[in-house]
Amino acid sequence: MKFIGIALTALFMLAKWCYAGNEVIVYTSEDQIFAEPILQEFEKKTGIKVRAIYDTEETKSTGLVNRLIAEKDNPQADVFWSNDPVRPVLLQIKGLTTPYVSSVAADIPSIYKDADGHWTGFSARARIILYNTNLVNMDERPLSIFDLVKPKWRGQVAIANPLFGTTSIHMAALFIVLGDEKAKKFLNDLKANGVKIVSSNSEVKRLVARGEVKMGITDTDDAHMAVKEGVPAKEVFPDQSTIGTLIIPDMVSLIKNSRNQENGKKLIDYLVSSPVEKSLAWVPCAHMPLRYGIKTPPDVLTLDAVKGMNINYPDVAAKLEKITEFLKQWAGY
Amino acid sequence: MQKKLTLGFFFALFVCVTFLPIVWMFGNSIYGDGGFSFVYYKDIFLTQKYIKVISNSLILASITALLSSFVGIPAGFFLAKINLPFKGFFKMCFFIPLIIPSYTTGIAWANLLGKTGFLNNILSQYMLFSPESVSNFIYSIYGASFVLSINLFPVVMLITEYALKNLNPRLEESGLVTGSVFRVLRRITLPLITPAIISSMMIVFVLSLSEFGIPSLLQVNVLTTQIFTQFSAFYNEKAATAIAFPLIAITFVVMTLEQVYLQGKSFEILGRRGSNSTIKYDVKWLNVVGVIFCTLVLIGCVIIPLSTLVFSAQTISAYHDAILLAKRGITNSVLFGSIGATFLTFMGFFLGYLSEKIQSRLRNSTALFIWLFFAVPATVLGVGLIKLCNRPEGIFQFIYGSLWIVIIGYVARFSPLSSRIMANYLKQIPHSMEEAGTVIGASWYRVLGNILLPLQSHGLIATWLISFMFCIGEMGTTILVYPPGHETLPITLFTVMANSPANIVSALSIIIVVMTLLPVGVFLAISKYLIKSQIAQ
Repeated sequence: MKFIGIALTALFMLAKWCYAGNEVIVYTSEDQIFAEPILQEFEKKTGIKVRAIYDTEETKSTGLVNRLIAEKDNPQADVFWSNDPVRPVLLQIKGLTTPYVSSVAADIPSIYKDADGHWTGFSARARIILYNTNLVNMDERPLSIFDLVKPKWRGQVAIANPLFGTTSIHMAALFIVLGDEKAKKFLNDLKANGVKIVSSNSEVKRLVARGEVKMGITDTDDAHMAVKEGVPAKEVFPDQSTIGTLIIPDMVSLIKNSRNQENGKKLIDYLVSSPVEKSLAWVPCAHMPLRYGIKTPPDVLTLDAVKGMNINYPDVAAKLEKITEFLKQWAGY
Repeated sequence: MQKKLTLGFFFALFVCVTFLPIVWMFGNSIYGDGGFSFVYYKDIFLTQKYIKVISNSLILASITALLSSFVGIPAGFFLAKINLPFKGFFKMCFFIPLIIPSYTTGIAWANLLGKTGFLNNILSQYMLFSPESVSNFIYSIYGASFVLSINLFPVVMLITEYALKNLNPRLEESGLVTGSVFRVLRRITLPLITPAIISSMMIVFVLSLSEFGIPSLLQVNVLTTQIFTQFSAFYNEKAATAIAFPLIAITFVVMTLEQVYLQGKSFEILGRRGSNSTIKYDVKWLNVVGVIFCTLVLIGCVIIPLSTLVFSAQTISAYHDAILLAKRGITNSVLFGSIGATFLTFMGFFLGYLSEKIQSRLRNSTALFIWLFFAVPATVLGVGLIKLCNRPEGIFQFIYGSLWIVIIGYVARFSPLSSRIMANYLKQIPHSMEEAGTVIGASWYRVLGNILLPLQSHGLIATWLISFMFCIGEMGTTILVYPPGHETLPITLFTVMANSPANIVSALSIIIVVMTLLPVGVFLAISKYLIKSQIAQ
């Protein structure tokens, strides 16, 4: 009996009780190395303890969404900081978010915000073509994603699995901009040209960096990291004279019925503020600020220098749901 | 009464922790909109596409089980049965493939055998393979099996080694008096450890069936990648759970085949002396073969993948940065892993006893029941645990918000594994030993403490070691349930992997290896000391 008593006491002593009081719980699919310093800064400034859960490369930003959906009846997270603009819309559709219109985000262009306040965008990435400079000359580099179906690039292009992550959003945006038929034809031509479908954007980066393929479609943060690591690679913002490329803002949402709503709102105010946009532009992920007039490093373009696709994110989310079955077949799943 | 209460308690614990979340998920997959529907199951059984996916899973698991055995059985034999120089070093090194996260091993091999890889260059220059064919190999079901078998052979090795150590030396001694080493091996040693070998192959088979990281990286379309697609592209947990059903069905068939094969055979070979002494085959040529074999395995399975990580880490500062990132993960992993492995060893012992030693017709069904759930993918189990444990009531909130949800995840995932390993060792203890204790009036706890546990010290060590390494490497369930601040090392690795410099990621992988090997080394040293002092008494 004494043994059981001691064991139980030890078990309880080992457990850390939930932090009560002044805290906020955030689930974020933004990369930990970039998100953590910003959350620590928020802690310092407000004294509110931030408890964060980050997503992994392996689960490609969908692990946390599944967790949020599963926790719906008893939400643990107060805030969801997404590194893509479609998952927050999905959570809104599933009834997991609650409106909060942050006054701090008043100067962010309205296409990046939900009018009711279910999600607010800030700091964006973009889809780019990453090419290996040892294998592709500056003159022959592709300037459009449609160049990738040319016979000269046969078997030399990589793309992440279009069912997941930002690639899936890119595909849905293409279906909206081009129309279903043209988009399907493009994807089928790409496949016929021997495109290599890999597990993630970072895998695209790895293959381009090692010269196993000459180029691939990925995101700006992967390209900037590759350059920082000394990889012989450069990025091209594709289709700048035609349809433009996909802009991928981070988005933040307040979770419905969570425990720390007020602290959650404070965190959202902080995340969508200009200093955070500036910080994310100056770290290696090189996000482009959504506000005009924020100073960025020379190698980080501002949004007025990039032509984005003419789309709105709720339409992309709806389209993605409709084309997922096609993408699944296309990817051979 | 003591026996019934204890076994009942552990069985009830298994039902609550493993059975309920999984049954909850399967129940949910057939119930919706006020009625029952088997629509997702119809899809699986009536669609041509799934036949291909299921056969891919079977091919992957079968080849992996075979390749792991080709390496693991001889490695286990040489560690246990010959006077291998640097035995401790080899043994510790052979744990490394199991510790390195499979995804990282996959990337290392994809780098080596990819079109521009170092090994690809060598193979295409000197062995007449084209660079494309080598690259195509690694991105195929056979490449995935190759990488997985490197990852999983230590399971076969460890189970074989400790089964050999459990053999009663008298049996082999008498054989050696009249026959050659080969004959003793073929006629006595190998037949006696057959259940251990079959069991270890089955464990590897089921682990490969439920593996996601390698097939996903190497783009092999198997059941687990389909499950992931349903969860992550369609957010359809019902369909995802339904696709897990064939995994359980395959496990059921494999387990039944094993039971049929072993039925009526006796493996009760353990004696009091036998548990503590192992006969060595001191034959020169066997020692030479052992050294060559273990060196080749060391190079192929350990040094090659590990050196790619070491070269990639490049600088000391990368390790410094990695340690700063992983500080909390290190503490959490060692603490959670040790608690998890200890719980799993207890659970494994009593559930193993239940499925092997009770005098009941239900014995085989119990073993089958416990083992079936091992094939359920980690994600399905994780979502089930959230549904079951994430409730506003006090005790649930306490569990869900603390380290205990992670431990429950470990126990839920790996108690079938630990019970299978223990059952296999318990097979070797004759019923008469326990009966002798009972006849002289000893209570069951006393029989347990003085007879069963000491006789199974090797089995307990093997179970703790395997459980610890699996707990430390677990990510699929943990990622879905861990509370903020309770991240483990693999989670740290995979969260920083996104956009961290490659050298820090490699340094972190090496830190995982070191931080797992340290406690394993300490545990092995303590257990060796305890066994020695037991012999001295």
